[in-house]
Amino acid sequence: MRATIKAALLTLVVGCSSNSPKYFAPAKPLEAGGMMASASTATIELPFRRPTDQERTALQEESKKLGFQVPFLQREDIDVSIQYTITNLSAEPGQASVAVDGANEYTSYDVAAIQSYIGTLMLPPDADAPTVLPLFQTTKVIVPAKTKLSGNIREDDVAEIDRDLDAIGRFKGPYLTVLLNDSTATPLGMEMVPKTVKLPQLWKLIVSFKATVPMRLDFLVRVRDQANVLAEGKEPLYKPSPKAFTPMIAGAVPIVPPMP
Amino acid sequence: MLNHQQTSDVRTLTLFITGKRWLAAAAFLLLAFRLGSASAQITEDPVAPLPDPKKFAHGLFVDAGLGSFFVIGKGKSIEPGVAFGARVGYDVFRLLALSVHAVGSTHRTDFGSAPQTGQLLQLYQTAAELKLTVPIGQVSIFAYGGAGFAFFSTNILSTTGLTKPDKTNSLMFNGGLGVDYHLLSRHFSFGLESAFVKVQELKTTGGVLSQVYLRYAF
Repeated sequence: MRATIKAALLTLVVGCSSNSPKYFAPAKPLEAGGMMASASTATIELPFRRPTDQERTALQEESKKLGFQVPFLQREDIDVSIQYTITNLSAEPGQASVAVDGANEYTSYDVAAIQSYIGTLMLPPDADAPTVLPLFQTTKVIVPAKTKLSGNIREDDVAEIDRDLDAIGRFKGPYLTVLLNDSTATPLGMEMVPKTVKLPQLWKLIVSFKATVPMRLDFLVRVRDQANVLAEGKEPLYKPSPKAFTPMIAGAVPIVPPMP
Repeated sequence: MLNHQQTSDVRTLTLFITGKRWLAAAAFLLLAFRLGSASAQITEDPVAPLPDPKKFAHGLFVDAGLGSFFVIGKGKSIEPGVAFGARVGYDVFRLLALSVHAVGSTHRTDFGSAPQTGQLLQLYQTAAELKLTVPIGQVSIFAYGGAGFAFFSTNILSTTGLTKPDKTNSLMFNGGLGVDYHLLSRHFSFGLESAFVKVQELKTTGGVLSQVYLRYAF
């Protein structure tokens, strides 16, 4: 009887805590459009704790067994979504969109960094300017003057970001094909990804806001942590060093050759 | 002189004799029913037993409640929510009890058009309380007050400035009044209570907990 009561209480406590989200807001809202820059960006690093020695050993053993690296921050344990509100500050309607880039434990994807990298390349004379897409972008919406519009980048949208980033990062999938296709609808570009893959979750989110007239973006990152990997108090934080993603551009050569 | 009942009996007998047996049986049955109802008639209301409050159980008690919790003041962006409560206590004397009270309530946030709107939030309160009771027959009026800790299930309020950054627990104080009605059973009573709750870290006036409860004294 006592054991049953203990088990019930434990289930209640664990159930409450595992499903209780934690929220992370940027230091200040993003503003864009008009006299301001047409786009602005905020980076949020989610405060995950470092894996324990026991967890590291278990991950290594599982990695050996599966034949690919098993991440510490796994998609199936951590759900991320973003709630946002766009406020049109001007007296005229304008267009706005929100984009999300980020980094998992292995790969970092940042449109601004990729464009800077492309700027260091000499492209073949007949080549078109390479297309650089964010990992996720909302559809462009028209926000009427002096009004607010709320939206949500759902957990399944972030899951698609996770799948795409892992496919183009670890498994060298063709990045435009991967980013343009919904991997739940078509496996295009995902051929190299093992069926048993353990998807890494984002630990860094780069949120970009574009607007044609002065607008403000307030947003909130919502994390449901079912593996208790979010740091509590002053726990040391997990800071992976992912490799920056750079697209392969046929015939492109660096303007400045790398130092020997 | 034959009275009305005797007249009926004679008439039934006559019917038997004349051979109309089925009519006689029906008349006999009617007669039997009429006599039966007359003998079961209650002429006075039974006297209700008077409860003796001295016989009500006291000592260790538990109660479980259901009601609502709403925040007043600046924190009205936390919508009113359903509250569940449970209490374990001990009647030190008939007039004084000590107890431990736990309440959980669930709320939805409403910060207008801010992204914090529409999120679910639970508030858990645990307090040690002292309760004073004035019994008046089966009814008693009580007042209680206590102190303890409150916990928020998420840090959503800290992103709006209603609590300090990442603060999800706080000292809390409560004080309330209630009325209790004891059933004729030695153990059971039920009642209604309402309390003001001040959660120290929540930058608002406070909250009001109102609930109905069922109490069992061992």
